[in-house]
Amino acid sequence: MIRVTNLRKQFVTKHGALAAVRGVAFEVKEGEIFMLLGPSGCGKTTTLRCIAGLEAPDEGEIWIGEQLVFADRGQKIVPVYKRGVGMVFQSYAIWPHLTVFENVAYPLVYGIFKAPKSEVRERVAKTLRLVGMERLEDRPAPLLSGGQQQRVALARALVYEPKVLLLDEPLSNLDAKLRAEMRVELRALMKRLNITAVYVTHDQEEALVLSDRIAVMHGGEIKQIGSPRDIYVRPENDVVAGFIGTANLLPASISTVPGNAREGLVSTPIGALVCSLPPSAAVGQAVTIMFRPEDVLVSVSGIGQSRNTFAGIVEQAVFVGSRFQCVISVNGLKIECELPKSQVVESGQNVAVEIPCHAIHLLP
Amino acid sequence: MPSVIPFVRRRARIATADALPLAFSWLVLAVVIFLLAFVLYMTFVPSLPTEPGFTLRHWSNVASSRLLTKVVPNTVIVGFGTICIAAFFALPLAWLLNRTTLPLRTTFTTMIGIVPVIPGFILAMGWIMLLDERIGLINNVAANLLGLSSLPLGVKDTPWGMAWVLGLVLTPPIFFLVAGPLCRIDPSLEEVAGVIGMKQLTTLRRVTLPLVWPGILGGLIYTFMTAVSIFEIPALLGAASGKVPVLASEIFYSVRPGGPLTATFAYGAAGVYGTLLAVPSLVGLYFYLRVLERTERYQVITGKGYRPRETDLGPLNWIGIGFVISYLVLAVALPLLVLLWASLMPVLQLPSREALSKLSFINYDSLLEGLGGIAVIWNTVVLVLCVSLLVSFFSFMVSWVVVRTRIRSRKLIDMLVMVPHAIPSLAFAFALAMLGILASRWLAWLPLSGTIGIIVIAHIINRMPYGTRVMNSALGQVHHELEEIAQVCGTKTPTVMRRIILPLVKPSVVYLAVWTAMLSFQEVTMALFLSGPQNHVLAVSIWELWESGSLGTAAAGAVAMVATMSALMFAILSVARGPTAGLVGRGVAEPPVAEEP
Ligand SMILES: Nc1ncnc2c1ncn2[C@@H]1O[C@H](COP(=O)(O)OP(=O)(O)OP(=O)(O)O)[C@@H](O)[C@H]1O
Ligand SMILES: [Mg+2]
Repeated sequence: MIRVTNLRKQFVTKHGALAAVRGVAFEVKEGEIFMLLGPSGCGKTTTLRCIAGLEAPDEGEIWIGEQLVFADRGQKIVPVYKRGVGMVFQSYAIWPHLTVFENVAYPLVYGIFKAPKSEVRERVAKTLRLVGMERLEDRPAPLLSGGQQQRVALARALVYEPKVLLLDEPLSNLDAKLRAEMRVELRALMKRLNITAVYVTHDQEEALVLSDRIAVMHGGEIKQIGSPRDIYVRPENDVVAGFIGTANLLPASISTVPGNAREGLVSTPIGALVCSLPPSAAVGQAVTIMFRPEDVLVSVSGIGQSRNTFAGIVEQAVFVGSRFQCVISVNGLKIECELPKSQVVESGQNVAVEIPCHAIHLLP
Repeated sequence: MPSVIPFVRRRARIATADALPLAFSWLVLAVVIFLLAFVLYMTFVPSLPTEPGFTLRHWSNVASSRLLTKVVPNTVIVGFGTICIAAFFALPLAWLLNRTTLPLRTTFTTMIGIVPVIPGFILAMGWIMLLDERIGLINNVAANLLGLSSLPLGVKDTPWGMAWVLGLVLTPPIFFLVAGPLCRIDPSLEEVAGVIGMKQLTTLRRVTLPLVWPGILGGLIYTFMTAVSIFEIPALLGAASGKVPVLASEIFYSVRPGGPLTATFAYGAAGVYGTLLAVPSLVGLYFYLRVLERTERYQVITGKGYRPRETDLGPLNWIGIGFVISYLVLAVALPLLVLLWASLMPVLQLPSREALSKLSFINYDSLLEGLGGIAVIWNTVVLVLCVSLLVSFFSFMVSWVVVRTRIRSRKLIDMLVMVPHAIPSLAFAFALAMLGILASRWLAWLPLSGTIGIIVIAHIINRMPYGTRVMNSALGQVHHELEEIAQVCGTKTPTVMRRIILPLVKPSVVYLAVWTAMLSFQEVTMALFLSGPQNHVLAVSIWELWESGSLGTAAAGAVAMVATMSALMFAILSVARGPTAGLVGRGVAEPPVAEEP
């Protein structure tokens, strides 16, 4: 439904050129919710604006549906108003001089999505019902709360039934509780309408909950594309691993590659670890190993005989409600772990730390 | 299936999206550039461009003794004199109304803001009636009291008289220019001085003044530029009779002979004088911009988010209030009152029991006829409405290009549109008058010379710098996403302008239209220069009544004009409530120059 190839965009400012997007490529299938995730300033908004036509890329091709909307360095370009996408900005961009109804009706009254007069009222009412704003039609826009503005912005983007919806951090202005509610609601709505969406966020939790597929961006490039589970469980590089969830990253080198078994030995600053190795592994190769805090097992009963177990001292233990977040020092290195709330630990305590073999991932 | 919608070339996209505002912008700028080039061109043509030839005679004539010994010295005296008078009033006023706890400060500030709306030539008429050697009321009182046979003071036929009236008229611009930096001084800087143990007066001299000095300097240069390019006030006060010629009057009478100075047309000479007037103005603008840069540096140093410390004058409050009131009396009340008195008298004389018995409305009875009938009223209405609508329209378009597009020439456009601010309005009027004459020879179908249209064009050019400043800041405050989402929703630029942006900046547009209308209503230099038998406007008619000696009727006209303006202003302020009224209120209190760079 949407295809972007080799997208490049440079901003020329007084202080020189700044490459905001550097060769981004992805494809979004029909009905899919595609997430652009990455830290602030990594070029997410710029990519989205290029798709909408608000920014002219320097290079690349953009297809929306069957239509090539940008190609040949701008020699072929379809203007914004003809692209027929729906969009929600982070600021919502609700027109303050209009009421809720007028805001949502605007696309149907002027421009290329113009509908017959008789239909307008009904379609607006239907869309407002969809987002749960049916009783606020006549409210002037400046009197809306943040959540209501977000719903109006969404209704305005949906009212002309675009095939493609572009959302730029639509939930980031809401408080935590409302945000959690809206995530679920928004996903259900988009699935019900079978909308193809490109969704920009820097909130990893939002990305994991809402999306079908995630593209992790960093420094203007896409570092990995995959399903939320893939990205979380099998990050391809340390940037992705570090950005999604918390990760313990240790430099390591491969010390033993067994002949037929897939498990080998890597040496790390905290000691030798047994883990599964890819077929291509070679002795002496430098790698990074990654494991998640929640996979680490901690016991107070002293070191047993099990593999990958080390002695450590609890440096910090913070109770966050559902669990403990601890930092444990092993051989002078800090390891982050999570413990169930039933397992009470205190800082200064001596513990045994086990890193299960299956939880360890090797990153190039 | 391949793409259905045909591609549009990139250049074509710019053409469709921004063509409209861009075209209107360049239309205005082309006129400005063309007129300036035309002024220069005229200085090398023997007479009219209809006759062939090339000459440097006009330039070599600059060295003529009359110009060097009379005109230029007079102009310089008028310029510097104006600065002295205006600074004498404006600097204490700015300090009193911004940095002290004087009662009624906001009211006084608004009143000073209204002064520029009152036509300067009307104030000059008032001052002539007060201080003329022959008829001046103050002079007569003084002579009676002191038992003098000859009258002591005179505003007429001396450059100092011109400077006095111009200084009163141009005090508000300096006031508002200084008020800005004065409000922004970080109080901690002054407090440090207080800690060191300086007395208040020393603090003012050593710390406050150096900090506002850039703003003061900027105001002074601006005042000089304006003062030397005003025609009507010097003309009333002695330039018209040829006794005290200044550059502005030289231009005027070279193109419109009939005064005692020149009996023949001297177009080339007028072009040279126009250029001579423009050069100091451009130099002034250059310094002015430099000064502004410095002021901004001060802003950066001091930051925001504090209230300037205010001095409590205590018992001296009365002196402060007295000073403010005496300025308002001198600049507004006294000249207007004497005009009101004169308009009610068959012959101007001192107020007395005998005079009171002669009070009559006879001057008002013949007013409409004397002004030139309904046609003049009609012309004035057309002028004011056209100028205010077109200036708002073109300013919106130019600012759209400058603020809301990424067209590469937008910086250039923004600079060019400021040029009329530096070039005296007389130069533009001169170029337009010449074009009008040429058009009447070559393009007889094009009605230009002697029409109200030519005055409209002159006024539009003159008001564009201010209009674009207002619109730039208004459009700059509309978040770009509000416009972008409208495009995403499937509407093109013209619809977005009409339905989204224009309603959002409406208060600013209304304010701009009202303020422009006011200033166009009272403008007389250009309207007079371009006047013919058919296109008299109210201000011009009053001026000519005065020049022809009908002082009583002219005074009645002036009173009627000021009354109309006050009535209109109150009407608009009470009709337009909310943000517009607020803006007009603020705009009136901080008129043009406060925002113009
Ligand atoms: N109009 C512009 N002119 C110059 N630089 C820009 C412009 N827009 C964006 N940039 C720069 O391009 C880079 C990418 O910006 P972008 O807005 O795409 O980031 P983002 O990923 O959306 O970040 P955030 O999560 O903070 O919104 C940033 O470094 C930004 O400073
Ligand atoms: Mg962004």
